[in-house]
Amino acid sequence: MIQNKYSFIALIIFLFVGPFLFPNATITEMLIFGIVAISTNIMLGYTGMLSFGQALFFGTSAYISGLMLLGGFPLFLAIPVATLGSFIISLFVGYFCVKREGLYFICLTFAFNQMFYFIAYVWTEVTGGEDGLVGVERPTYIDSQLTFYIFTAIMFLLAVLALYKIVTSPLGLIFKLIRENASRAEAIGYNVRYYKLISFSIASTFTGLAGSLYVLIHSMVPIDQIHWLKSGDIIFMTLFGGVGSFLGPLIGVVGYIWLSDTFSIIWARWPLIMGVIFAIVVLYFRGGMSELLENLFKKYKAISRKTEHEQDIKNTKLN
Amino acid sequence: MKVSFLYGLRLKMTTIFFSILFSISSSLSLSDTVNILGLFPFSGPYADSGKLTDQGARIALEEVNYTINGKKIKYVTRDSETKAGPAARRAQEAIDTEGVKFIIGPWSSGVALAVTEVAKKNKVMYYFSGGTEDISGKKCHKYAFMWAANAWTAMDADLKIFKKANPNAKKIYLFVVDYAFGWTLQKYVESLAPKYGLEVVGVDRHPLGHREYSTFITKAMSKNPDAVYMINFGLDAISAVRQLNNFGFTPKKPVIMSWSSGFEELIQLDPAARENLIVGSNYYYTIDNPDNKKFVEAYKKKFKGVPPGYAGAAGYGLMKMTLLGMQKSGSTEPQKVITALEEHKGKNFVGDFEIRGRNHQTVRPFFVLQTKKKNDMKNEYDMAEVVDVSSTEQPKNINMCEDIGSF
Repeated sequence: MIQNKYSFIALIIFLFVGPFLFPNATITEMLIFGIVAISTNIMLGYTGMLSFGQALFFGTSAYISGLMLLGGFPLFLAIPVATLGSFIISLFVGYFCVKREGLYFICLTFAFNQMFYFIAYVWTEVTGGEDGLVGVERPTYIDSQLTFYIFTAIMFLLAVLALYKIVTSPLGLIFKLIRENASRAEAIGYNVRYYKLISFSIASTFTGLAGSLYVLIHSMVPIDQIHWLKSGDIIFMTLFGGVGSFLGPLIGVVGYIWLSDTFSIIWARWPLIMGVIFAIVVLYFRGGMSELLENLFKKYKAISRKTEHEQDIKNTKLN
Repeated sequence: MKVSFLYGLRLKMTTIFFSILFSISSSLSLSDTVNILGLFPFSGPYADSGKLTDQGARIALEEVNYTINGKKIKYVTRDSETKAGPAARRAQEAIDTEGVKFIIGPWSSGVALAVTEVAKKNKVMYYFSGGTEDISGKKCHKYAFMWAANAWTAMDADLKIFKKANPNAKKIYLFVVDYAFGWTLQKYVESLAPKYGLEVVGVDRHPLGHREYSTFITKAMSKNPDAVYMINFGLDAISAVRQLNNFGFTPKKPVIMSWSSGFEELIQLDPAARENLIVGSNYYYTIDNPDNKKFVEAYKKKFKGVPPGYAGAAGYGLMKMTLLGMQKSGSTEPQKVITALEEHKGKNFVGDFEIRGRNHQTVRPFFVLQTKKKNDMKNEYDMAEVVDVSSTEQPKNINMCEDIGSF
């Protein structure tokens, strides 16, 4: 509990300090993908379901939101409708996907992702196809980079609080139970498939919420945001941050975007470095960057406690 | 009361001090340097071309010794990954942190349209080259320019020159990559073919990244066309050419690579496989003028004697055009540079050109090459010769740029 309190204080500080550490567009994108990664972790880390189809919800919602804004609908209608759209699609897609487990579940999510990608690819009149959906204007009240950041930060905070409420509720415990032992959960009366569908829908709906915000960053929806490679990026970011803690995936998002942007300036073959880092994290820090930071924090505390103790002994001797 | 007044005063003084310091440093950096961004694919599917494009741009900068109008040029690069999302983010980041005022960057239409939105929003000039006509078409705006020849101009040139070289030809068969740009080119070819006495006897569309063409080839051969006209690019085109050669279509009959990088694609084909190809391209290194010879020499020095292809030329061309605007306007402010470029007529390493003010299209030559037989090649890079050039402008009534808008 105390640890969570510290984490949330750190999160609030990060929201205030972030715009001074990173360019505005970058930090805004970090928060948007932060929602995606934290919500994906509900499914991946808490329920133990690996989906390669999250870009489906991210992209679809971005398209819905973008099209509504282009059609003259207000933002405060576009975001809920796009999120609701993701929720409905997630129920449909999830219904089929949760019928299978493990590798087959992954394959199904991947297949649905590609299906939606090809719809977006060939439905040029609506989605812009290969060129993406362009020309989406931000409403004037969030037109400046700072106001848009504040808006995104508020949405991010609300989403994080809602997700936190879910994982700390009895529902969150059921998700964990399914992850640990699905057969036992079934045996004591839980409908595992039903709860898996709920977990899938929660993750996908919040991913959709993030997608509806993403369209506003650069006033467009690029087609690659619905490609399965984006789903891969989402998994990478979540694992990189760590699936073992609630806010760990956010660290993964910040680390991934910051490292890729930094390394890409230094060396043209930067994906190689990212690959090595990812391999090291997977091999030696199974809990991701959050585990690494936690260990460092614990070590620091132990050292400072030891120093304090030695100082106390010294003072006692002097007295 | 006194304390709070003094505290307030100190706070105000501090604010004023930092504001002055900030504005001085900002104005110093603004007056001293001009920042240009090269947004190229250093990773992703076009990773091989990113470095070449970058080097082309650097040659143009070396020619002016990295200075323009008495200012130093700070040239920065970012990796577009050929993905619209990261490209737009990095363009925005470079504008925010490096104070970039000019962006150059070729290739993908998706990337171009994302970056063009960033350029418009930030009032930054963007010069693009690649496979889309929207930059000077339906998505045109005051801050974006297109360097590559218009798609209509290219298709017109290919058909015109093919017919000139093969006066008896009557039938062509189309292989078309199945996405928006492919469809646009197909539409143009179908509308232009009758003008040159040609009939499109069949069309096969294939997805991007397609490698197996045998079914299309047998279908095409059954229609007995005088040429296969390909509207596909990169490895798709290379694979199709190889297989057309295996099936014996070439060298007996010609294959037209309608929108090609030229050098980069031809070098990947065996001399036997590339016999009797007609290749439409925005650049070929044998263009015969002093400016091009100078560029080719500089490029060869950097790349151990390998001449430039479209990638290097695009980097060079985009940077040259940006610098030209600065020289002509005597300014490094995007709006003044843009105004100076509009309706500019000139001559550079690709030949005579004009920049249309109404849609920001560079009206310039499009080159049509004929590949050489192995025995006619003087060296390994002597793969083709420029047989004709065309710069017929796209008719105004079919250009989709209705209103370029204002600053």
